[in-house]
Amino acid sequence: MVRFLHTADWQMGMKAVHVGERAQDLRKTRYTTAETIAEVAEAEDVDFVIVAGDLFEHHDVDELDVKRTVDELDRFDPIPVYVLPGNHDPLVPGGVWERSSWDRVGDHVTLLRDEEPVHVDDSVTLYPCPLEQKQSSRDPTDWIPPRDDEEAIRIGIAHGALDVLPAENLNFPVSADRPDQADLDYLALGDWHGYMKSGRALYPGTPEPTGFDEEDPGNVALVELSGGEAEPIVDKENVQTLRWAAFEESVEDVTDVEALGAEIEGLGDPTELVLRVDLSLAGDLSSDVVQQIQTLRDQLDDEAFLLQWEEDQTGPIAIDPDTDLPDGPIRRTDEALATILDGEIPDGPGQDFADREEETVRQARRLLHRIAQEVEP
Amino acid sequence: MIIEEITVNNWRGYRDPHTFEFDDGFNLVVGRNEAGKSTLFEAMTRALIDRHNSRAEPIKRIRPLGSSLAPEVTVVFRSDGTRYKVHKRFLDDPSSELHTERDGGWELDHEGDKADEVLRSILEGDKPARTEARPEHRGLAQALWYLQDEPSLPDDAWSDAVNQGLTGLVDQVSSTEAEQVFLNRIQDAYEDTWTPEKGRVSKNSELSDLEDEIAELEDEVADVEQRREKVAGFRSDLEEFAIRRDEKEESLEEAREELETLEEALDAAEEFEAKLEGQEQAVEDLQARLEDFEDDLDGVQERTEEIDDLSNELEDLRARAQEHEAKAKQAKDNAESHRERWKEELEPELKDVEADLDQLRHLKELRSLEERQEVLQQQSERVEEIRDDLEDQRSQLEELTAPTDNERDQLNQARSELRLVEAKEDSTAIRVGFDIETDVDIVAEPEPATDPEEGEHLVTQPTVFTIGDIGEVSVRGGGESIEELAERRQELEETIDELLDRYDVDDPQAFSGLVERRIQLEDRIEDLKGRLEERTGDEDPMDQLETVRREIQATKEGIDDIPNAWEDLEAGEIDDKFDDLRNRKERLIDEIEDEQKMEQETQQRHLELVEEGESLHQQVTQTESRIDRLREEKAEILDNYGTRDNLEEQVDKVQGSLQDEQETLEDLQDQVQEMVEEPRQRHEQAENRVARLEEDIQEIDKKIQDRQVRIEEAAGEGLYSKSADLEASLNAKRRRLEVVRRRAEGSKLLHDIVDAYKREQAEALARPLQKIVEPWLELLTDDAYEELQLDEALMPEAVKSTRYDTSLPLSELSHGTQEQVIVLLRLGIGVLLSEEERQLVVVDDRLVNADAIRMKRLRIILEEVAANHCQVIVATCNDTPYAGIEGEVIRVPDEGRQ
Repeated sequence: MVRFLHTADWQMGMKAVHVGERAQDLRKTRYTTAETIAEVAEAEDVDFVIVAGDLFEHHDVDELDVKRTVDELDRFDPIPVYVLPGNHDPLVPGGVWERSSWDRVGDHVTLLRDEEPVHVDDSVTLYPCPLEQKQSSRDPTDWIPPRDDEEAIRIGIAHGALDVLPAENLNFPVSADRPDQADLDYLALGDWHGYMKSGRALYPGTPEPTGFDEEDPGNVALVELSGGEAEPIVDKENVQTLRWAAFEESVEDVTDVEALGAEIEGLGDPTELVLRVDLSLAGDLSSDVVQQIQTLRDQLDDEAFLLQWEEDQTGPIAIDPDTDLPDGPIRRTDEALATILDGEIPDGPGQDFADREEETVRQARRLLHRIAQEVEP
Repeated sequence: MIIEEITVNNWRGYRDPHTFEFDDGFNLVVGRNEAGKSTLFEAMTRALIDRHNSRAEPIKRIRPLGSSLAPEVTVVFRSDGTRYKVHKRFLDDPSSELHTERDGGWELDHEGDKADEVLRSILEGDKPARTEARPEHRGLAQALWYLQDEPSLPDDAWSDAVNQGLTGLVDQVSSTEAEQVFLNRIQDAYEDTWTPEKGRVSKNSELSDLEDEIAELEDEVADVEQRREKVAGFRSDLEEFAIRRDEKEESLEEAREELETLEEALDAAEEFEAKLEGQEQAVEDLQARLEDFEDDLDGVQERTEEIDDLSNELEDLRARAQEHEAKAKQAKDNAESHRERWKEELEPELKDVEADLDQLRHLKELRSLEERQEVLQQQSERVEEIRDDLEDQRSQLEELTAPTDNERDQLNQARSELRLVEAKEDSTAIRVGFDIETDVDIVAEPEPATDPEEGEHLVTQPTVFTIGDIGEVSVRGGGESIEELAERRQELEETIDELLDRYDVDDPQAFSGLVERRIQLEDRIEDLKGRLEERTGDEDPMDQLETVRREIQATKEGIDDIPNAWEDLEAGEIDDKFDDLRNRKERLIDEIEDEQKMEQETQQRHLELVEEGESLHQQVTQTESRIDRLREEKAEILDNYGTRDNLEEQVDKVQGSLQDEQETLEDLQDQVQEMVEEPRQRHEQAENRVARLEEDIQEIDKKIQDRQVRIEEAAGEGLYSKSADLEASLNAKRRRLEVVRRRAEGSKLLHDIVDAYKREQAEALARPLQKIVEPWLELLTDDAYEELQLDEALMPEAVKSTRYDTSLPLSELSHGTQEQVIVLLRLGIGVLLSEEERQLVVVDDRLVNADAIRMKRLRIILEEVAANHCQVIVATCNDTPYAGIEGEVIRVPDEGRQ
């Protein structure tokens, strides 16, 4: 029997441009997660660790990122760690694996450079499928030889798209039948960022989410293999540092805002949240609702690790029924703007502005009413 | 509001109460300049607008000069159907009373501040200020009262009362305070992004900043991306280098294997080379032996030949030596004969010629001396003559007694002074004439000189004239000076006489003749002396003659044996002869020189021949000894071989052996290319290839290392995260820009749309006013201008020119036309405001610049306004244009002088 930790897609040094100003902080959280994985490996007393590709985001990642990753891998010592080059960090001349910082990684870490069996010990043989380019339509596992007389547990390690995944033009397609064809006890995969199991093949997913659209990210797999006909026993262990959540809500009154607030609160520590809130606001909301929305937004902006608040292009115009616009040009302007927003052409000089973009007209009217509120005694 | 009556008291010039009454229609206030027209309007304004207790400086000036009484004013006016009377006293015990007419009687409604306040509200004016009230505080009157010394138009806007009065008519709301707040906020929001003038994005707006920042970030991103592309380039270089390195490694392997095979062939080549070397040595040895034999044989042959050659040469040398001896003797004889010729023949002849030349020279000299002697003889005679003449002249001079130059000058001076004295005497004398009919003798004592022409007597001393028997006339006078003159004349006459006596002459002419004679003689003597000096000069010709005679004697003595033939030779003949002899002498000298030269040459030739002969003899001796030496050497060489034939046999033998060995060597040499050079070449090539490949690989390794270092450097710089941070920042800025731009566009739209409505409103306000003013403007300007254009504050901006169909800004019109247009505007406002209630329009002296025709047209307009709309008060100093106008004519007496 053998027990190991299977992880992949650490994507160290990733850009995280989509999170704007907090990209740097987001990059740092991946080291926290790596630290958590090391703790899990130690706690679970695994025999070894497999990193099935994309340890690094790119060959160009900063020297500092390589150093810190090496530091994180050294935390696993003395547990052997097998690292496979993936499609983000393939084995190419001048690649990240040739960096002097990488050379300093501990002896317990093995970079799987060649398509040849690696004997962990007499009872376990690894069949690594390192990638040497970023893209290919070749199945990287196709070299794995069938079993001869040996008794050892056979583990395939590959980085690619299992051909059962819902996508076209798969990069490095991996045959879902490979475990059967090559009589593998387990096929440790990387590339897919969500946790997914397909027969003896398994994606643990990225241990730290990289976006809002990943399904079930943030895990590592603890795998136990007994050999023979026995099925692998896999435990899914959540290790993520930040939680990513996106909300698309439509708001009509104060209760909608309150419900949204409660839902977000239910996600736990707000400082560990990466949030995207996309509100669609129907009609002319009362200034109460607008105020409530603003309060929630301010609160989340203050507390969450990151808040992406999508401005609704058809957002509300707070009309205070008590607001009194002076008669004459001001009131007539407001009426003209309202008429244009209703899709009609106003009387008088306002008609020259009927063809303006709706959002611009809305902004103009919003500004007028904001002024009205501000000048109220 | 219309005014009915104004009463002033103690008001500037009006020291006593004075009441002016006004018609509801047209009123003409006439008065000369400074007559007090404006004072009237001032009183009206102060009564209706100013605070009664104001102590502003202009109000203090109302009090008449020297008066201590408080100025007072009472105005009776009608507003909104009610009659009011206001009475105000300023400065001392100030007061304000507002009375209202009820049931035909005045009731005091308000006093003091309250009265002021109520009054203002009736007139719709602002709260009165502590200071005097300015036009903008007057309410409607700001527009309607066009007073002197006030600006044509308000600075920025008509007062609210004017606007409100007008807006009431067009049922519109003007810029209230509340509206202005909005407008200001909208303008502020607009100017957050846009420039107020041109609506461009302003430089320091957030929008502009964001655009700049984004452009900057884009540049930075591009820069980082470019550097990252470089890194990608390095990486693809590395891929290429890896491939090339593998290829080179493979080739190197092959090259090394080939090298090993070639090293065996190299051993075989070395063995072959050793063998070849042995054969070469054997041939070399034989060649050396053969060379020795051949050298000896050559030595014998050479010497034999040389001995033969030398023997022939010897014969020849001996013959040449004999020939030389004969030639030398001949040369010596020739030299002897040349010497004899010049020594024995030519030199004696030359001596004879030289002696003859000597004689001839003496003869020539003698002839020349004799000629000289003759010339000198003649000169001596001439000198003698001059000497005799000189002697004669000298004796004549000695004999002559003549006055000196000094005496001559003395005489001349005395004579000229005498003439002067006589003339003076003549002019100083008294002239006495007698005119007596009877023939009477007139005797004078002493007798004076008489002028015969005039018959007058020149009396120079006391003279007594006795006139017949008639009597005597005594003439005294002349005085001392006449006497002095007479004395002086006498002295001079004596001097002259004394000088003439001295040389025994009677008159000065003779005296001068003597002087002249003396001078003539002296000049002649001087002349002769000069001539004598000229001839005798340095040496006297006599002495020279003596010297020449001696020389002739000496020369004659020097000549001995002159040939007889020469005795009578002429000088020319002697010269010819002399030249002949000299030529002959020269010829002889040349001939002698030629002979001597030839003697020398033949002598030299003789010496040379002797020398050459000796050299030939020497050569003969040398050749003989050389032949002996060669014979000895030849014998010595042959000593080893016995005979020459033996030697030749040895040579033949060695030559045979050498040929055999050489053939063997050639066989071996033919195999060198194949056995040695080719394997060597191939080995060298293989070695070079290996070295080159190793070098290539090293080169590639160097490049690989270089690219790796560069990649590491780039990674060390943190380009990847930098690009991430920049992109993230750029994204955020772009999102922000989107929001800001949308807001800015909103603010612009709001601004523009409000502006459009404001403009519409202004136009709505202006239109009724324009309608009223337009026909007046056309009438006034004879259709030159038609439309008065007003801005949104109802301020006149321009007039429309009919002729050019264009707008002319008001400022471009003449001052007079501007004033007239403003009067029309105010009248128009008056008409509008009078629609509900008749209003007062005041035009205080504002039409003075109108010409007669314009004035006539203005009168028509004023009449029309007064008849149908407003109470009109026009102040003027010239009532002519208004003659016969319907209405009240109020004549203002000279201020306070009624």
